[in-house]
Amino acid sequence: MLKLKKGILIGILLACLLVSISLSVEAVSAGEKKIAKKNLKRYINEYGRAYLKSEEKRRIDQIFSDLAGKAKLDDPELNFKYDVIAAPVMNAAYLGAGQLVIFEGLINKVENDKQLAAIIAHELGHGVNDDIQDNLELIQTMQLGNALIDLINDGKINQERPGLITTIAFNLLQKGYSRKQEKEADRYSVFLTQRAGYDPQGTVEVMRLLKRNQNGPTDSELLEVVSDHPNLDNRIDYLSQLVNQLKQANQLYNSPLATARRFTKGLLKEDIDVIYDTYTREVRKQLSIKASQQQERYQKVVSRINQLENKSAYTLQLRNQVEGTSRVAISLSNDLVLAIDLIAGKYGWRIARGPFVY
Amino acid sequence: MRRRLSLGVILLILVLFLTACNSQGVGSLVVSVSNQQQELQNDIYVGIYATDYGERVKFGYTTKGMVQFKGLPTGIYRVKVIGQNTKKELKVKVNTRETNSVDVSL
Repeated sequence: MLKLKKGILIGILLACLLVSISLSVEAVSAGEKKIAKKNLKRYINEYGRAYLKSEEKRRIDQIFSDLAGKAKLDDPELNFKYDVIAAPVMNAAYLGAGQLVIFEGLINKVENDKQLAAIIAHELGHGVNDDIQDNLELIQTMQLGNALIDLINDGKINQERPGLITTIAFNLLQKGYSRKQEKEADRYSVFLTQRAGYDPQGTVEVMRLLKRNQNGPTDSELLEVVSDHPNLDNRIDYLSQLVNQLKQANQLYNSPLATARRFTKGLLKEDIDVIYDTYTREVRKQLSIKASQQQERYQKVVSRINQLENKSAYTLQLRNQVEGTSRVAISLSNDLVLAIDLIAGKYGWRIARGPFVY
Repeated sequence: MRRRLSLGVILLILVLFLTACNSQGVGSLVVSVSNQQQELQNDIYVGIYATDYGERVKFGYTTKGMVQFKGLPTGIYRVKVIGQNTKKELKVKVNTRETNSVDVSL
């Protein structure tokens, strides 16, 4: 009888564990809403809301609404809002369910709008990436898994030591996970600031500012930036690299015709590196530079180009443009007209399909 | 010992079962576009969307009057066909390991 009871219990826990792993959840769960509300209340009770002059409030409202408006396009179910907390730390935090808090210390320390925009964009990135919900699901799954291990080992759920294995495993997992989440939010802030009309260089500047102010007032509970975040030097490095890539892409691939021109020049010079760079990241993930060179379609086009008398003249024509995509025709001669399909992405216009011969 | 082993086996079977349930096949879709005079049309946008139009799965423009989409997960999609000043929307079903064809007259 006891064995049967244990078996049923294990079965139920197994089912819960598997269901919790496989089921997708709604955009903002009740748990996330509760956590966000509770933490906001805690900050307000502990530090109070900051008093801001109307001019300052208008400035922050404007930056926030510029960024949140664009972030909402990535997650339409989130309603972003913020509160300014009267704490001297130089930071901001995403609490879940669209709620951000910005600490007064940050507002006092940032030197310009682009730096404040960078921090807000980073926190919005946590929202768009569903980071709070992901962590919540992880905790729930680990708790169920722990109960299962207890049951298999000694037939009962150990309530006195409910989470030794879980706690260690979770801490380890969360540490790695959080760093990944932080890096993702950093990357997102670069693209979001640009989309909202702010200079993404602010993301690098604000990291340098954080580094200069590392000895400023801290509160371990409030300091989201320090504990689980990647090292500040490391962040400055990868953010600088990303911002530079983005600036370069903006120059080279700022329109379908600009990308088509670069592609055509590469094709005429048989410069595979240039050609390869004009393709989307998705295409490049599927096909290595060597494999793309060996493709039958590429070889065919190159062989046709080599038969041309004049290998420097060409014309480009935008044939159609729909929903962030476009078709460009490349006329190399009367007999040879190529077609490429492009898509607008984070790194400008890139080729998603082609070339095809008309 | 034997009991623990059998529990492990059950867990493994359940995981495999769930993985199998989640995986799906793929098929191809060929969309041909012609005008009212039955002439094949070039440079027409063809977008493949999830049924609620929430997400564009793939897109392409017609060359020699057609566009092919390979490796589409099996299921029902909405298709937008957009040319210069013309637009058509339809629903298509993609079956596993089949090349599904649709002719559109704009």
